[in-house]
Formats: sequence, C-alpha cells, structure tokens
Amino acid sequence: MAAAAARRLEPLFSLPRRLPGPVKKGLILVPVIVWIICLVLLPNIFLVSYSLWKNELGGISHEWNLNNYSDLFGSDVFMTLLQRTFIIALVSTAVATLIAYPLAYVVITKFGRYKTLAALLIIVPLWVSYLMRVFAWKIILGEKGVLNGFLESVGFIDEPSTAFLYSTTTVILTLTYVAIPYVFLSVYTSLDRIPKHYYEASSDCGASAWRTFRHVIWPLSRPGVAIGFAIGFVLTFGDYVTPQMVGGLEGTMLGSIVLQSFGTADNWPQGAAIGVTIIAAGLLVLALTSLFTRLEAEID
Amino acid sequence: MSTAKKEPSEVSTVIDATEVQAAERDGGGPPVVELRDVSKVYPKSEVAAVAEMTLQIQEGEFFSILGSSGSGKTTTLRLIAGFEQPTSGSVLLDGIDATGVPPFRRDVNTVFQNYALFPHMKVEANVGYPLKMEGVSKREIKPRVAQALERVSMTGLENRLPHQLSGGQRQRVALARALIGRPRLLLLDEPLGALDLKLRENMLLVLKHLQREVGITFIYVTHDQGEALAMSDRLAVMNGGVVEQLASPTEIYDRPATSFVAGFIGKTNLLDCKQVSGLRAVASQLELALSEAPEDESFTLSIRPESIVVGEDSRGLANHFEATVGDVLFLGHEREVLADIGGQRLMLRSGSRSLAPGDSIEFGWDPKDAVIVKETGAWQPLQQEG
Repeated sequence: MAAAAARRLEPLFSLPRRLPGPVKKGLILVPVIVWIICLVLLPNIFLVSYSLWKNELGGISHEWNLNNYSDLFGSDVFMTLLQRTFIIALVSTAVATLIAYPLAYVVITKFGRYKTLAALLIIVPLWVSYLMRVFAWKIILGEKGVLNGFLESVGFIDEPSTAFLYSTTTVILTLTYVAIPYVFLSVYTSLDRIPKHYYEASSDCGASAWRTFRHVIWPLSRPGVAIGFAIGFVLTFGDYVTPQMVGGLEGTMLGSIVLQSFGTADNWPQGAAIGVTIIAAGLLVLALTSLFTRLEAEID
Repeated sequence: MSTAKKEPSEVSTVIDATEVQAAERDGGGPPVVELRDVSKVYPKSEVAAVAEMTLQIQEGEFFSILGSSGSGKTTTLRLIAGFEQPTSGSVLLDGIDATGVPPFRRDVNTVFQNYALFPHMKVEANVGYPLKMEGVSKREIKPRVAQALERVSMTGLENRLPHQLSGGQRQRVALARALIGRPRLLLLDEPLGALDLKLRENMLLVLKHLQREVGITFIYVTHDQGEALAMSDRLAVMNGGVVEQLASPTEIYDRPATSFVAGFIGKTNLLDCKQVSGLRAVASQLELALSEAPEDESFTLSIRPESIVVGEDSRGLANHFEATVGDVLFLGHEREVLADIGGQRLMLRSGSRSLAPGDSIEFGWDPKDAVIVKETGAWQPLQQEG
C-alpha cells in the first residue's frame, strides 16, 4: 500500500535532487550576474568606448583615440568647470554633513520613541519631485521671491535684489539642501545601530556627554558619515538640473555640458569623455572615503 | 489609607536605628548607599517599578538584590547608578544626596548585563577608559591597566577587540574596567546571566575573591537564588517593586518573612492553617503543633522539605504523620517524595531507594522548624526588564 502510494507520488521527470555544489552556487548567482552585466558593465563599456571614438559632424567614426580627453584637459573652460564642480560638490556635501549629523544625533538621542517619525519628516522632501524641490529655491530666492519680499517689507532693501539667484552660492545652497536627506539617512542608520548601553557605559566610566560622543559615538558612526558623504558627493558632482535652474552662468557645472554635448552639440564622444571624468571623480571620492568606513568593530 | 501610609516610615525608623548601630560598630561613617522612600514610576506606566523603597548598604558589604524579572531590581540598580531618576524620594551616596547627579559624576561603576564593552576599542583601551576620563596620564594608565587585567587573569589579551573574546573573557574585561577606577561602589547587573553553568561557578568564585581583595562595596542584582545565597553578606528579596525581606542569606532561608520569599528561595511546603487553640492548628484535616502562637487566626506555615524527618526517627516529634506516597522524583543524591495526607500534598526528601507511589511513609517535624509567613499576593509582572 505504502509502496503504491510512493510510486504514485513519484514525478515523471525531475532534476537531480542534489545538484553539485558549484553548479548550485552558479545558478543562484545568475540573476545578479545578468543584472550587473546589463545595467552596470555594458553601459559603462559603451560610455568608455564612445569617449575613445571620434566625432565627425554629429556622426561617429570608430577610430580609437584619446583626443577627446586631451581636448578636454587642454581646454581652459573645461578645467575651470571641473575645478568649480569639484569645489561646489565638496562644499555643499560638507555643509550638508555638518547639518545632517547633529540633526541625526539629536533625533536619535532626544526624540525617544518619536525618532522614526522625526526621521521620516526630515526625509519627506525626497518624496517630492527633484525638479520641484529645486524650483522651490527659485521661488524663494528669485527677484519676486519670498526672500526679496520679506526683506522689502522689513525695509532692509528698497528694491528687489537679483543677487540671490544665479550664482555659485545659490548652487551650493540648493545642492546642500538636496544632499541633506541622503547624508541624514546614512548617519541616522549608523547612529541607530549604536545601542543605548554604550552611552550608559561611557557615562558610567566618568565621561561627560561630549566625551562620550568624542570617544565612543563618533568613532562608531564615522563609517555612516563617510558613506553619506560619498553618496552626497556623487549626487551633487554629476548634477545638472540645479545649476541649470538656479546657477546662471556662474553656476554652470560639468553635468550641464554633458547634457549639451549629448543634446544640442550632438557630440557624443565628448559628452562620454566628460561623463567618464565625472565617474572617475566619484570613484576617487569613494576610494578616499572608504578609508574611513573601515571599522574593526562588531556592535553586539 | 492613612494607617497604610504611616507604616513605611515606622518601618524605616526601625531600620534606621539598627543600621545606625551597625554603622557605629563598623567604625562610623554614613552608609555607602542609602535609599529613602524611593519610588520610580516609568512614564506611561500606571504601577510603580519601585515603590517607597528604603535601604541602607554599608561599606565593604556584598549586597544582593534578588527577584524575578519585573520585580524592580534592575530599576533599583539604575537608580543608584544614576541612569534613572526617582519619581519621589532620594538616593544618598556616602551620606550626600545624589538625586539628580548624572552617572558620570558618581563614584559608582557598573558591570552591565551585556558587558557593554566599546566594540571599537581594544581590551587595553576599554579597561583604561575610566582612567582616561579621569585625566590620568598615559604613562600611569598602562601599568594600572596591566595590573587590573592581571587581577582578572586576562594578561596577554590587551590587543584583542571585544568581538574576538569569549563571553567569559568579556565578562572579565568588563569587571576590570569597572574596578580600575577604584569606585566606592560596584554595581553588577546579572553579570553572569549570559554565561554557561561551569563558567558561572568559576566567575562566582572570581567575584567573591575580588570583592574580598579590593574591599569595594558590591551590589549584585540577580534572579538566581543560588548565586545570591552563595555570595551575599545581606540580600534583599524584591517582588512587585517592594522589598519583601532584607536579611542575611541564612536568615532568609531559615526564617522567610513572607510566603513569596519562602517559595522563591529554595523549595518549601506552604500550608494554609487555622488556629485551633494556643499552639494547636489545623491545615485541612491535618492537626499540627506550633512553636509560636500566630497573630491571626488563619495564617500560612512554611516547612522546608529537608526539615521534614522521614522514617522511624520521626516518631518522637510533636508533628508525626503517616501518609501515602503520591510521586517520587529522582534528584541524584536523594529523592523528592510527594506524600498525600489529609487533603494535603507535602514535599519531602528521602534517601531511600525502595519508595514507590502507593507505599506508606511516616514522617514528622519539630515545630521549631516550621515558620509562620506573611501571606503576600501572587507575583505580578510590572515591566519588562532587559
């Protein structure tokens, strides 16, 4: 009876119950490998290839050469833009980190069970379209904007000023605002992982709140800061919407000319070369910050 | 209500008097820790985690607070450490009111249940941390750390990170860190809870030895009655936020004050009795002789299984019974016998190997070995403890 049942349950065909270990591992990895090849490797190979080809009146001649790069690095305009983009991205991310860290620290240490709510409120801007967020600053800082209106009404200025919009400072301000939630998220996560008893143990050992922060909390949260900083930097370094909308000529960044090269100028190889430069800069910063993310600790 | 309110203060004055005598005997000076009518109600909680607690702990004492989870023992410890502030009442350290003083300004160190070693610091830095905070020079820290590690037999592991250590080793490092600043008071919050049995027995000896060596007052919080009895000079049994009994381990074991203490510490038989006359009482159908007259007509009597004499030796005792064996549990060195008599089931101990359910057994006890205990309510969980 049991034998009959067993025979009935036997499938008509089946894969071997136990695949050899390496084959199994390989099968599990297939989706990841496909993902990486299609969405990471191939696009970048194309990008790099384009940057090494030649532009011919909007068409592309597949001649391998480095002229696109030598043209770029020989050009004063490009070098100025590269430098400016670096500074803008660095300053805005740094300022964003300086704001986001204390914010996250206060939320974690002082908000108790409302900390998740507070964190959500800080991250909420991410749910709004990026364009809208940048546009908001245009409304605030513009000639007929909120800031001018306020200053006029209190009699600080007589007529609307155009100084607030379309400058490097405006771009830094806006990009700082854009970067804050990202840095916050990263810092918040790393601070949230530090259990309360570390604060207590440190206090118990005679450390004031400041020294607890300096010797225990900061070292343990530093990797989160580094990762947040790297995300912020990569985000702001390649940005082209903000400079376009609030930057004016003074606020132009590399991202803007990538857009131009692929668009109006129809010079894909040049655009690709600038793109590769941006990626390289991002990787450089990631490499530098990874020095700070190494933490030999396991939080229990 | 007014009488109920009055009671604690009366009790505390009685304690005060005895403690003052004790302090004078020890050469004077205020107690290391004193709690005066301390209550703690956590926000959003309706019941007090600790209720009107009054307590004095003397210099050099090994004091234990014993209770199940939710009894308020950890809260008491956190109040002394300064991690929590009392809702009412005051905490005195060395006779000075420390209510409101933050933990880092108290001369008190804690060994945390989960050790709370800083994960990014090597053993050396962890142990040296309190000295560093004190402003001791680096040159002086190094030898003192070495000495502290030697005391807990951890020499040679200075350069390990906490996650590279075993549970017992972390425990030792935590101890070294807590003791290096030579605090007036060391608080231990279930320090052995995470260790396995063998290691726990070993650490018990280490702790006891350390305490004798350094002469620092220890307050040891545990839910393990065996640990508390073995280690302490005095211990407080807590239940539902109040101290049920505060006495020496032998007194707590031999003369439990309440039914909770009697049941929580070791095993016991609790008999609901009614006084018949003078030193005679009845529990169900069991007629008993007492050694002292009860205050109330109905009362609870506690008799330890090991105080019950089994066999012919029991014949001369004032309480002598014959019963049927209900169940026998083999404990290794002896047997636990559950005997049914007069509607009661009594727990006794016997070395006899031939007892089986249904057998008849004779036993008895000296009235002096039975204790009248105050009936306290069933244990209620008040709060989750970590």
